[in-house]
Amino acid sequence: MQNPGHVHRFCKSQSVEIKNNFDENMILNLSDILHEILIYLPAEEIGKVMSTCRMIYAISNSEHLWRRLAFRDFPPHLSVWDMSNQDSTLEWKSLYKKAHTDYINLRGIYAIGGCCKRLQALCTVYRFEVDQRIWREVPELQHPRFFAVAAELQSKLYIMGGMQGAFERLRSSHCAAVLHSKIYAIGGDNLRGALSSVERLNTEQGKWERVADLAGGLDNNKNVLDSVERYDESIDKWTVVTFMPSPRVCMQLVSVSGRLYFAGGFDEMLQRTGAVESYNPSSGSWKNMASLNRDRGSFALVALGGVLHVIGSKPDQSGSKCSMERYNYELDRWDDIARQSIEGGGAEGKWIPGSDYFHSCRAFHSFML
Amino acid sequence: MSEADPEITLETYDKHQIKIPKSIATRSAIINMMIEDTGDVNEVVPLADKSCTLNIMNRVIEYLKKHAEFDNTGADDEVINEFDKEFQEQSDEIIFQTILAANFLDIKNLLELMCKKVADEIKKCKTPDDIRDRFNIRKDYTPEEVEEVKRAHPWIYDKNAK
Repeated sequence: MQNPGHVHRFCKSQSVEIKNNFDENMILNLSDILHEILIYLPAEEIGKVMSTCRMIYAISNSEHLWRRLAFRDFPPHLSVWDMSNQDSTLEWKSLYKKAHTDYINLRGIYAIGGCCKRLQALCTVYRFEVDQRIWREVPELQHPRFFAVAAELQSKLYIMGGMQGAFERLRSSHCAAVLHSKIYAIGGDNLRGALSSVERLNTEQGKWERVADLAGGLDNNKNVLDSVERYDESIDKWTVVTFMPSPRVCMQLVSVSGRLYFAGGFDEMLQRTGAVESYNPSSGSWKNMASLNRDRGSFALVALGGVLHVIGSKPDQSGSKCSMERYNYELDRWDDIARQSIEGGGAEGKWIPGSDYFHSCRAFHSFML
Repeated sequence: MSEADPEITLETYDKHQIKIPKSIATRSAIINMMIEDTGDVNEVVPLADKSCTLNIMNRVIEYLKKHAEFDNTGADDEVINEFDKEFQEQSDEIIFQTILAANFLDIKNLLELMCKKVADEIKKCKTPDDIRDRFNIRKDYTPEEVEEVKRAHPWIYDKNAK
């Protein structure tokens, strides 16, 4: 039990007044409470708090606090750290720092692979630097591919499937999602037709395992479906939860703050569309949003720090270039933003909850600028 | 009062007595321990922490009673969140005293609730200077020391740190 006799009031008339004559118990108590507060702040905010005064700096420099922050922000790293930390030579703060730096270096929108005009697959990878609004080249893929999908897991980028040429594919146009630290590959098609199978990657063993197939019939007769299915991991089952107001294929889908956003794709007449809708799973309601400035078929939708971005598309007859639009939540409209385009258009991406900038993205349907 | 849930008398730091049902009082791990220590529900439980004044304890008990009710009725998260949100809206003085009391009494969800409130207030501040102004913290750093802190933690300060 704490020694209650030594607790001083540390706030007085709406202020924190730290007395100079505090004893050890009081500091212990104060640091406990400060830790309880700091644990609800992101690292950048803790940095600000640390530079307010010496005592707060000393309190927030504690290994105990950074261990808790590491558990909060980078749980996947912990098993590795715990093993290597048995001799206690590693400091939690430096471990946190390393993971945090890795994460910052990775953030951005990635355009991976894609193909040029003659359906030739590309190895190139670009990262969109948000601050400078330009695309930069980063190390290439080992295998060229387009129509591949990407997923982000534990600060690493995974790229899977896709096509190397028009007739080489096992699974493409599918969809990748991360649930409970596992990557899922869902649906798509191979040379023989549409797939309804779903696989899950076990990253520890490096193996794919089959999970429940999709419940709603997949489109093998080239019918455009409007059903939306949800997977429940605990019972390993897909159920149809709702129907899209406007049926379409190849649309892009992201989730931001508990809402699902559907954009673009091809409508029932297989014409490109720029329609955008959002779905609230808790209320089951749909909302129409401003349409994209350009109709986009094969493209990317990513949520960068919670803000929707669409990137690229196959150029239409007018020859419009690969471009980027950003959604303006306040005015409900799309703004054109990128200053420079890259070869390779459409993409698909993931957003890490609680973080600002980290995305995977794949490119397909490209063209020469 | 039924035998299953006898009334407990708490004595606040400023020497007021409060009677509350045992089922409410034992939501504080510390009070629970003190009752079990004495083994006598009729004995007055003294709250020796300076934060545990009548005013603050009334608020803490209001929180405990409301949450006991939520637990018993299986209330919706929305209802609970609404109550919690309203409970957070207090003067800084009351917030800090409630944090101290929740810490002393070992009431985890109340401590969490109030600490989140302070964290939210910190998030509203853009710079360390804003935080000092908001919480009236005296700056004891020299400009050189500020630079040193920033140099030691560039990964926190510079969002573009590579």
